[in-house]
Amino acid sequence: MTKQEPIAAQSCGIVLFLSVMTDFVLAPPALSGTAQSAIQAVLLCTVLLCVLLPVFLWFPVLTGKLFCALYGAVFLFASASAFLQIQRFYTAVSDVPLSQSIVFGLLLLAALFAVSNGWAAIGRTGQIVLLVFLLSILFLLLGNLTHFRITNLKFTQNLPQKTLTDCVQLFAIPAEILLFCMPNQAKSKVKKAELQKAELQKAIVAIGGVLSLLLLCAELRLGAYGTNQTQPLYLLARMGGISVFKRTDVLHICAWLFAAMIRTAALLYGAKMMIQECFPHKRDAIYTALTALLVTVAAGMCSGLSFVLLRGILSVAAVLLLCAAICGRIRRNVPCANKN
Amino acid sequence: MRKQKLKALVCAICLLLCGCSTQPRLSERAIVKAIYLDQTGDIIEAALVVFTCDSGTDLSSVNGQARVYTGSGNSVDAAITAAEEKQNKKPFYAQNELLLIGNGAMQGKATSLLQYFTEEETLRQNLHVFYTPALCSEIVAYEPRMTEIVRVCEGMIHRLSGKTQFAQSVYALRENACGYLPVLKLQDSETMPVQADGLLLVQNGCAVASIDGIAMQLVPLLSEQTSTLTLRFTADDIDTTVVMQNLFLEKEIENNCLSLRLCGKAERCTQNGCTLQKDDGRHVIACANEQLERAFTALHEITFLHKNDVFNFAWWLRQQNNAEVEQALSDDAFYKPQRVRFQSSIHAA
Repeated sequence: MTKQEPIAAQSCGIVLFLSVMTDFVLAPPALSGTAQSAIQAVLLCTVLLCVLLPVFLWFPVLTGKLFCALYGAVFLFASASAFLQIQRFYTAVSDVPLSQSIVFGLLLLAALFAVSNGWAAIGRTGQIVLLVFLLSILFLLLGNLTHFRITNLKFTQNLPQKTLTDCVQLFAIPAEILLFCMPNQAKSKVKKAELQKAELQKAIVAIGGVLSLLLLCAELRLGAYGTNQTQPLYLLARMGGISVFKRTDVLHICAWLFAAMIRTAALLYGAKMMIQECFPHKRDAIYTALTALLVTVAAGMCSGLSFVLLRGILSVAAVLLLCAAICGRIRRNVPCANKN
Repeated sequence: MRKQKLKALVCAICLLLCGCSTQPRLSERAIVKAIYLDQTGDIIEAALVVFTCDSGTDLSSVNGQARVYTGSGNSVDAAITAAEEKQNKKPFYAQNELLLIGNGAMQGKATSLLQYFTEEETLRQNLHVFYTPALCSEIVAYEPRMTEIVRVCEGMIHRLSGKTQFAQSVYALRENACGYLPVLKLQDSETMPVQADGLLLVQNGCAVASIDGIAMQLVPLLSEQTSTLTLRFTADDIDTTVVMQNLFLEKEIENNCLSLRLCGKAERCTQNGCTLQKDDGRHVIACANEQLERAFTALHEITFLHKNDVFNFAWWLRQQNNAEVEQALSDDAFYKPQRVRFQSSIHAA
């Protein structure tokens, strides 16, 4: 196995937070239409992910080219999906958008540059981007605060049924979690693994909290109008203003795209690592070129699919890989590396 | 070192790529500051109030002379496109905050017109909607004064947004286009080319009544968009003014009926410009309470009792028993006078 850069525990939490948040902000799933059911679904998903997370971390991936190829495929498709999300979002919100291929090319170059700088650089940039992203969310809420109306909150009929429907739409196992249980992570010390688990759990709880707040605020501002909107948060960004600044949406878009770039870079980093595992002892430029080529092919394959479907497929793939890891461990009777 | 140079080269290429698309310059933009729409039969008339600016001018300080371009068509889109084509610049709608709806469009057709503005992504969904009795030809006739008119209207929106918000956003009116629109009257006055003149009550895209006087002042209070009120009325044949602050609506729900109680303090009472002392003040405040209750009854008559729940009273009743409200609505027994009661309990500071 080639030597990999260890992933700092704090960076894991930050990358996970930014990934899930941008996934929700750039390509929000179609929910049943009320904040009440959506918030309940978010909280349920949060609990579910918190429960599943230790299982993922206790059963780190198996080594071997086949497993690396499978993990690599998941990362490639996840990063392709992230690229497409940014590409479609950017094209939708631009007054005079660049052509989609140029956007994709630029994003790919930027992400490859981030990957070439290594995980530590992605993690450190993630810290700054997190701050910018949180400020954006804060200003988004402040900009709309005076227009919140409690009477905009809608009543949910058949609440349990709608909560379950929203749960199905919302629940996903982010591919980034797989990144944190890579083989090199398994070899790390127990204390670090515990720290990583704590950071990830904190991130998941923070995601649940921020998403619930955003859903509530979107309904308080938009009411029934928000129901059929494909981009309710972008709409909030367009409507909200602070003092004399009436159109701050461009600033929000920048912050969200930065966060999305961190996600893409992290996933592409995972893909490159796995390609390295599959074809060891080659030059770095070859790995970079191969990653770029494969992610472009993956993006081409995914371009016709909806993000909800992609999210579902990637979640199922993650679960299958986890099951395979568990089975493999049991068959070989190998103790779990991260377990106390 | 060679690697770093390569990275720098790639970054430079990326920067150059950003200019690949043909971006229109600011001076090639027509900055739309207001849209006027009216409908006669099946023909929709649109007027765009457009500002242009010289290259190098900052977007936020468009100061050119406003021009009005008109167009007509079978749909809002066709009418606006026809108006856009009257000039050769690329229209830019991101700064537009004003939507003026003419009289013809308010005869039951406003719903579809407003729907266009909520669905069109290049426009702002929080456009403020105003009603104007002026015809499209009159809007064109006012072109030399349009710069001033737009400035006054925008000032009105911002002033109103900060304190008392009469203007509703296009998206807030969307659901069956029920709500109220401020009435704007264009006039020949040198100092005030446009004047806000009451509110127009809208139901299902149709103008149903006018609201003015104390009832108009009560509208933002009932919509909970203000907490201050300056009431002017005649008590004992004397011009009286009561300034009220920290107003709020206390709500109580009992037996599926909503009781509203307007609470707050009267900060200052004046009659013919003289501030009143405590005892006289009490009498005037009692008159003010009476005036407010009377205004509510009149307002209630033209809104709730006509199945136009612009103040969302049903929402509060649903808090107690949603099923009962649904049942009453389906039995056509919901919009009854006793369903909502109002009491004004303003007291002296």
